[in-house]
Amino acid sequence: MNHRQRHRVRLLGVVSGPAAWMLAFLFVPYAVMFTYSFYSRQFPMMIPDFQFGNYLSLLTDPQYYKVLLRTLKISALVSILSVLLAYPLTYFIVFKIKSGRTRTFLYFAVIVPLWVSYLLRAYTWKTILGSEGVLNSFLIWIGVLDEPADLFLYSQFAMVIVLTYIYIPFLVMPVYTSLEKIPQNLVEASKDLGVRPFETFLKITLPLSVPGILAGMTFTFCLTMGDFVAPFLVGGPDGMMIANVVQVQFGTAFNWPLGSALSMVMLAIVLIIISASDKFERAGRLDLA
Amino acid sequence: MSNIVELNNLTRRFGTLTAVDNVNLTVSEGEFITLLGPSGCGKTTTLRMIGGFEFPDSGRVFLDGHDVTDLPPYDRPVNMVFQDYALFPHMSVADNVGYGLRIAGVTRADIAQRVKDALRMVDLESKAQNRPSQLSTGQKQRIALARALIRQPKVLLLDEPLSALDLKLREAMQVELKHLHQKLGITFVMVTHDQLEALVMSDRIVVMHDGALIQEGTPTELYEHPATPYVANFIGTSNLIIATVAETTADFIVGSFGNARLKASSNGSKPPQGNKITLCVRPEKVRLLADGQSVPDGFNVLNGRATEQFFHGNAARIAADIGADAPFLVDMQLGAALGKSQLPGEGMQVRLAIHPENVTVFVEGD
Repeated sequence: MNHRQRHRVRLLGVVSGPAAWMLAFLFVPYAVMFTYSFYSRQFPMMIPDFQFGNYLSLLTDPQYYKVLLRTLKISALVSILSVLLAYPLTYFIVFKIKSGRTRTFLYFAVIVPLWVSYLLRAYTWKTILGSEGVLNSFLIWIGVLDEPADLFLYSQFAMVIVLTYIYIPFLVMPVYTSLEKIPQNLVEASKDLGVRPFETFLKITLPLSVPGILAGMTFTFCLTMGDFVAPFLVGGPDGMMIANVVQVQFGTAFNWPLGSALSMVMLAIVLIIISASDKFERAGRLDLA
Repeated sequence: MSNIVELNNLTRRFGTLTAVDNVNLTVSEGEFITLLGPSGCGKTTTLRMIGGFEFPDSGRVFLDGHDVTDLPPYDRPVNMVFQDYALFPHMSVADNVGYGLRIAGVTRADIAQRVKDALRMVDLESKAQNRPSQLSTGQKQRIALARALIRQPKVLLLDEPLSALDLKLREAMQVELKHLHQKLGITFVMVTHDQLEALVMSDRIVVMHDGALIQEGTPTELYEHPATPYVANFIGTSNLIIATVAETTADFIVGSFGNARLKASSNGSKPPQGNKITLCVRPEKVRLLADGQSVPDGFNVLNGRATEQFFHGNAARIAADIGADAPFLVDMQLGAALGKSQLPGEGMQVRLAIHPENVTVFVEGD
């Protein structure tokens, strides 16, 4: 065995483990699901078949495509709201906090909720938004409301709030990294050339942080798309999202073919978004070193 | 000539460190002035205070007669070439150069013309549509220069502009920058730690050390008449000999060290006998006497033993032990008159002749 062959054997040894894992637990399940999505159903059985009825009903039956559109809308709202909230905060942490220790502390303060149970974090919002909750009590106390309002909890509004709260760290992380990478002398050079701070932000800092914004929005969008706990806890009757429907199809409705078709559509949407954002990111990626 | 830059009692502290300590400096219009010193001497902080990137704890900055101490960079009539050029990576070369004009409300056609002129000035018209990442270091440097000059600043600030270039390119750019300065007539304030660069390019050099201004003068003045041993050592090479005053006359100070004595022109100072002094002799001001050659009239003569020889191609340096603390360096031009084979080898006795005019005396505590 010469050096090259030995190298190849070693490489195979390293790669084969993860590859086998991926094959067994990722590609095979996807393939199975993809196959199921063409099956037909005769309750309580599913019959091996190759037909597009499942996909067709997703596009024609309002109870499915409406949920899908709602899910896309909520995902978009969550990622936009996350950017609007997280960008100024992250900008402040990166550029306005002079002490390195304080900066790291604040960064971790934003990230640390990720280590707290999802359910716990979602439940805290029930105590904030509920009819006896903090928000209602406060609004009554300052006299804006006469009696508790029910619309805060169990609504799409509540879902957007809760999901934004839960997924915002995934936006802060890439934005933080991209802002931190911007050499400060670029900002100084802009000011040196007569450009005021706000225009400097628009012309230099913002464009150079676009890769981080894109990555973060992709995270929050895709994670929201797959979420089924928040709709369950705070969504209310009109707050169902696509993942809940999938859950029902594999559970009580016992319609695996339709559930598989739904999952395939979700997967396709997520893949399209990830590859599009990756493409934009690559186009804008610059050597800042 | 009027003063374009005036620094009054400028002080800047970072925590307990005083980066710039009570600096006073005036720069005349059209001058090429260099702040010279080792890293951490406060030269860059001083430059950044002129540019508006640092603000002094006390003291004032005047530009063209106006107090700009509290003005931000975008309200000052100066532009800076940054050490690593700070070109905007997401813009083309042309957009980089025109950046300061687009914001200033210059018309599109006018910008295009001025960008073209600026790129022609630095000989990089062909790169207008390239990204900065596609340029070599030398090209980036020229673009940074074009970008800073396009706004026709009253003062151009240069922060170690040539330090990232390799030797040949650096030497070429030194000449180019000097020519550009002569052509444009704009005041240049440069920061460097490279004494040779400062000597070659500047009309006037300001030597800084530990945040303070040590000496200012033309390159010749600084080289010929360094005010302190620090300046003598930083600019060019110097033989510094610690000695004791043996005798002081109206015209001369005689210092003694080891078994030797060295006579220096007094230039008015009269340190009392027995005082410690530092004698400074430039290596190229020493004459190596050939065997049997008589000592020229009025010269000092030192006897020593050659310890090392350094060959520089067209020149050579000899280190000799003359009984001082450090080896005594002698520089010689090699050529038709003096061949390398005629240099004293290791261990050979040498006689060195030095004119008293070429011995500078630093009195302790000066």
